[in-house]
Amino acid sequence: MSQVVSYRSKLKLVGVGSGRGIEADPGWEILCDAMRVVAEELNGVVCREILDFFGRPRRCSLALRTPQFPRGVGIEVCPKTGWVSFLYDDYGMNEVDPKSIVGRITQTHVAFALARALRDMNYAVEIDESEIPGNAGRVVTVRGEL
Amino acid sequence: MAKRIEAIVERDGTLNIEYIGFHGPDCRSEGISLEKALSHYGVDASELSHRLKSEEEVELEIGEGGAKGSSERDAGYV
Repeated sequence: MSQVVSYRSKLKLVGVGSGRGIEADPGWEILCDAMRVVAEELNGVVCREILDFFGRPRRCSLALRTPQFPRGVGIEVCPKTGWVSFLYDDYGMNEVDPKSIVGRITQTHVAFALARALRDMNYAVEIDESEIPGNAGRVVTVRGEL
Repeated sequence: MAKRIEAIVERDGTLNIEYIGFHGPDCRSEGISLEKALSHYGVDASELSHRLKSEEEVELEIGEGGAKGSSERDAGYV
């Protein structure tokens, strides 16, 4: 017998919301790691600004620009609450879905955070990833054993 | 029996976590500890559903090579 629990997860840097600087927040470090990993996977670059439809730059806390979506997906962190939100301008880009990039960043962040959390709880941890055929994303499995 | 946690992380961040080898309140308290640890690393996790997995289901999965299902949910954060 085992128990299965489903959780909805959202990204929130609690330290930022309680007045700590963004770079001192352990969640920020994980978010930067997740962005770097996704950038490598998609041949993109991590930077600090995205572009809108007109090519105008908009500064963000962190951004990822890829060859498939050169305008980029940005991240902003609310300084009052710590909630993380994603920004992009996909107007006129019907063939590209930036939500798939957002999903990949979120999935990677949650997997990394879960692995760190389990290690803190003295679990031995492993992470497996497998791509879903047809470019439909990937499955990430995190296993921990006490 | 060793205690194990197996989690599938979906693309929208939904976590499906199976607590194996935990009994009754042990599972609950481990879940609470995990939620707290996750929040430290930037993940605000709120429980959507909770169910017991029967021995028959476990046996079926072993027979089928451990295949598990997943579901799509609204992202809610974009």
